[in-house]
Amino acid sequence: MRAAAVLIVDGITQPWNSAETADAPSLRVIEAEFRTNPLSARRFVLSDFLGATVLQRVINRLQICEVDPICILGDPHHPASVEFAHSPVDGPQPSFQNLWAEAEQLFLQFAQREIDFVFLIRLGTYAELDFVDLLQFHRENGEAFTCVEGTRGPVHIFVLSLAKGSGWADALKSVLRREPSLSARYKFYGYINPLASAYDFRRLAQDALAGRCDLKPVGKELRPGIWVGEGAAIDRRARILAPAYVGAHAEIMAAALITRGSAIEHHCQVDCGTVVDDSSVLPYTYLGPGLEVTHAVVDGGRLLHLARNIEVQIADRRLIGPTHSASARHRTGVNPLKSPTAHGIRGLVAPTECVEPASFHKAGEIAPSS
Amino acid sequence: MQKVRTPVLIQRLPARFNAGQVRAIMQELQPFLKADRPRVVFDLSQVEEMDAASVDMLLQCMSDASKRDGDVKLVSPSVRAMVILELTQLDRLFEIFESPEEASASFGGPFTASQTEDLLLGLPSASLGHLEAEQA
Repeated sequence: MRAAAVLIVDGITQPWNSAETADAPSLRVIEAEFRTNPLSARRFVLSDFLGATVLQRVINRLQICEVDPICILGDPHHPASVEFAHSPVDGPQPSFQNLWAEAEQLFLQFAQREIDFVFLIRLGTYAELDFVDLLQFHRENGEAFTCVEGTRGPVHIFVLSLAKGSGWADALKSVLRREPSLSARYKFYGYINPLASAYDFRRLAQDALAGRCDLKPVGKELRPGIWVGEGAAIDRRARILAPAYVGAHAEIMAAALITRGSAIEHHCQVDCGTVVDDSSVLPYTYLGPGLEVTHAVVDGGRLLHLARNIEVQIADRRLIGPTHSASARHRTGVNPLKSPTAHGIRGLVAPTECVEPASFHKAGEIAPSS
Repeated sequence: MQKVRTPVLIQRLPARFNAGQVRAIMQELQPFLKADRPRVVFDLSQVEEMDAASVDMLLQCMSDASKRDGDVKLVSPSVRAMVILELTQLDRLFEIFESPEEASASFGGPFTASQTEDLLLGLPSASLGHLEAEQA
């Protein structure tokens, strides 16, 4: 019994097929769009999250279940990329024809390669699904396709049978048109995060760091609840209060404080005395000295204040802004799916050689004087 | 002994309160800040954009005013301005009021709500040359 997977991810400029390349997904994501798009309209499925994107984590989960090949489709020119992923059933579907043609082509290839089942996943939603169990349910049920339903409705994850006479073409069309009327329903009561907004993104970070979901940060857990990525540099006078995450090659300077489920992604710099409290700082972001970043998602010069529900753009690197290496990355077109943290995609735990900072404290502890 | 008290200066800051605006505003404010016990209220209700230069300017004004036994207060910051004030922790340094009248009254001077309307609003259109010392 063989199973393949097709992931539909808006924002991908060219398809990827794990059968054609043994390398990590060499996808070109529209990098410029990442930084110019308001955080309130961002596709967080492609944003680095505790060391790896949600897309990478879903691929990893499928690979563990021996799903092969895994293909990714997307439409970077989709005018309503975010809305499309979460639009209601009768919402606009302008790129349906392209998507249908590409998906049909893939399914034909799968059928020729004697693949029995295909997972069709529209990312999106992050769900800690047991794909083996889902496949078992689908086989036992005998319907043309099965759709996954969470406690708050469908989660856009489907299984289709490719056997002759299964009518997969009609089923595929039905799924892509979001009209899955004649399907079996797989009830899923596990962890689901719709990742529809920055609020969901922050909640996922908090849940992951607090151990409320299976998602593990990329790096080493130096103290309970404190994760540090490879090559991170933390000044001995900085304080990290659990739960917290410091990504690979991030730099935390003297007297900085990272606390309450904050996540500093890879290659970020937090300058002296700055407090990061209940916030996510996306890769290659610089936070100037003496700031207090609370209840926020920060990316380059953009800060989305979640408590006030407002986004400000600060075009002044003395406060917040992209790091110098971010502009270098943009010039060279480095792929975020091939980021320094991505090589640990299978285990999602990269080795670390970082020097352990002197001052790790559990929440509520008083920092020792240095 | 005669005690001279300067009036409260109410300065409405522009929507784009950034490095480009800061120099002009500071030039206009300098004479006032050099007076005895300068009392300044910055109205941030229109401010949509701030940068490090504008943060520096607020700090500079506070520093100058404090040296001469004066004070600087802020009035009704917009949500965006408030995010920057919190980010830079200026919200802890400055007293923030909901209206210019409240801010003026907090200085403990003899001004009433109607009198504050006569004070300078929206520099640099108003001129600091009209400032007159008040006999207290």
